[in-house]
Amino acid sequence: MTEIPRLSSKEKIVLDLLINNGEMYGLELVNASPEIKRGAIYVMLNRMEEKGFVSSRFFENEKLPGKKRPRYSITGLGRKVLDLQSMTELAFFSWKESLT
Amino acid sequence: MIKEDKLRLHHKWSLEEEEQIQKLLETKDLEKAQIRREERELMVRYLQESALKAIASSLEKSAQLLRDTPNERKIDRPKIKSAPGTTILGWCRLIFTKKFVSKILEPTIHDLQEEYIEALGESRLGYAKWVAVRGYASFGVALFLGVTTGLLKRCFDAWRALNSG
Repeated sequence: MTEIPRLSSKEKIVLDLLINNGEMYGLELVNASPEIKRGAIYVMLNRMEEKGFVSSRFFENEKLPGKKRPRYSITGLGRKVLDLQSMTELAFFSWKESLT
Repeated sequence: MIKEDKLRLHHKWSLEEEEQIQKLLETKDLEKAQIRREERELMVRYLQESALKAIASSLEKSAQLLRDTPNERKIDRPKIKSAPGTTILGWCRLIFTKKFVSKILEPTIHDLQEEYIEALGESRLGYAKWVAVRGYASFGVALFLGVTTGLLKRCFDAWRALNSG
């Protein structure tokens, strides 16, 4: 049986930010949204990378010479899952409105 | 009285005496002028000796203070500290897998160091300390979440493998 990919609310925020801003690193994501916590960001990004929603590339940190850090970008699967999630939410809310 | 004020007074007194002697010489009162000049020279010699004694005593006190001070307090040079999180990251590299360190722990510490260095660059020492504390807390959370999610994932994979087999 195929698994239906699911997104948590914070994963959705991360994917939205990556779509709007392109490649970002963890601190940029934390600074961009107050809902994302510093301690959880890299664990979440790692999990999302394992699911295939984001991909990472290591870049030289210009502020800390000699140290590399990963920059994350959204993958095709991430876009599809985000679109699917948005469509599902839209359908759910329109159905909810039709009931009231 | 402060030493500088004392010296200034001595100098002023010496100039006034010289003026008085000049006046006596102008009035041809040579005997009085000679006596006053001798008195002035004696006074100047006395003041010079007392000034030298004061300097010698001050130097002796400083030397005594240095002799009594422990060695580690004599050298008060600024120390170059490593960025926060360097040591803890070194220990983590020994304990955890390379992937876990490079994907989760290193970026967390590098973010902490970046913010810390930026705060120091802006001379905001209090904020830099706060950044360090917050960064260590984030590191603790990342470590806890990383380890627990890793363990849970392994348990889940093992459970699925048992069920499918």
